Amino acid sequence: MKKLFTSAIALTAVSLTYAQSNYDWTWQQGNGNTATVNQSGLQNNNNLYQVGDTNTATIDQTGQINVNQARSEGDMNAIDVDQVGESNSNETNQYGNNNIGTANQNGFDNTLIQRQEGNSNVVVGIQAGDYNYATQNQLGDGNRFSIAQLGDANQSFQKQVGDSNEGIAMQNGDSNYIHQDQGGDDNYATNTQNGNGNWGDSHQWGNDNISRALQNGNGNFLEQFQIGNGNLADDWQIGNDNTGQINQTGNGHIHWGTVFGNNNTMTVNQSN
Amino acid sequence: MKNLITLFAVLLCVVFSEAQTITSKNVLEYYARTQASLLAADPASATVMLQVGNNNLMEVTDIASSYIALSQIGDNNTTYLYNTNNHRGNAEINIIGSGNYVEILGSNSISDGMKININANDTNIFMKNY
Repeated sequence: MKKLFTSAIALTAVSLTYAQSNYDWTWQQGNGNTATVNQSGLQNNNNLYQVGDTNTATIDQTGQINVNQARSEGDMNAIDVDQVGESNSNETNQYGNNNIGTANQNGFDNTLIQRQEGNSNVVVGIQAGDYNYATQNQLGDGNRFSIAQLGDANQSFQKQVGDSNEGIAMQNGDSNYIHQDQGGDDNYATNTQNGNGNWGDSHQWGNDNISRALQNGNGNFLEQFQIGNGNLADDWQIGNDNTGQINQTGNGHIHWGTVFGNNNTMTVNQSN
Repeated sequence: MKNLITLFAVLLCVVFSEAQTITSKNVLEYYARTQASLLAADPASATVMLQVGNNNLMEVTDIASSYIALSQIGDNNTTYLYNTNNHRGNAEINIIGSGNYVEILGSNSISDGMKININANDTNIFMKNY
């Protein structure tokens, strides 16, 4: 019985040791691919999959229970992932050639999901804080997406389909929300939030549209819709609890909106 | 890639530092610059709108190509502007004060080149033409 008990303790120790170790699974198929994985801490998990030629990936995980799943299928793609803290999760998927995906997470329980399909796309995701959530999806060529979340419990969702589009979402504070989607070519959308509980949404369908949004304060709401070509919407909300609704349908509309104060409402419909 | 992240972080700092120095004074300057640049560009259709204060309401429905500039500086102001036909029109309404109410609807030519300046409180203006 003593031997059995000793064996059970030894087995438990081995299991605990195994459970607390870091895990890495890397698969590369093709020529000239490079993978660098650095893990320090406990129970970090990395899954890296590269198929094609001349792809590179650098994964750094420091802390515990961080999870990374990264995939490049094609040639000359690059992935860079840095995770510091605990229970952060990143997923980067790239299909095509010359794509670049970057993820930087520092904090607790942040989630980042990024997907690129096409060629020469760039996506950057930065999360510093706790409980942030972000997704970025782009389909086409030459697109650029970036998200920065500095604070807690922010949410950002970006999606674009077409070529040469760019989207930027910046959140500095807590519990902010940004959603941006673009369909077409050469569209540009940027949304910056400084404060808490702000809500920003931008939709662009067509070509050569520009939307810019700045929210400084708390509890502001701003939605910008653009359907057509060559439209511009630029709105600032400085204060608290302001509401803005901008709709542009057709071509060549320009809107500049500036709000400084609290509880103001601005509604614009432009069409031709 | 580290350089890209650093560049991005620096950009963030610049944007945030600029955002934190926004005041009502430089907002007005920004508004004036915007108007000037917009007029110089002569766009097909443009709206330039400014609200400084609290509890203001501003609404524009612009069906035609036009240039519309609206400003509310004060509290509890309400401004509506509608243009429901295809006639080109220009309108500029500037309000300094509180509790003012303006409502303008559309017509063939009612708002062509119109400019209204209010520097008072609790005034009412209605303009309708079909």
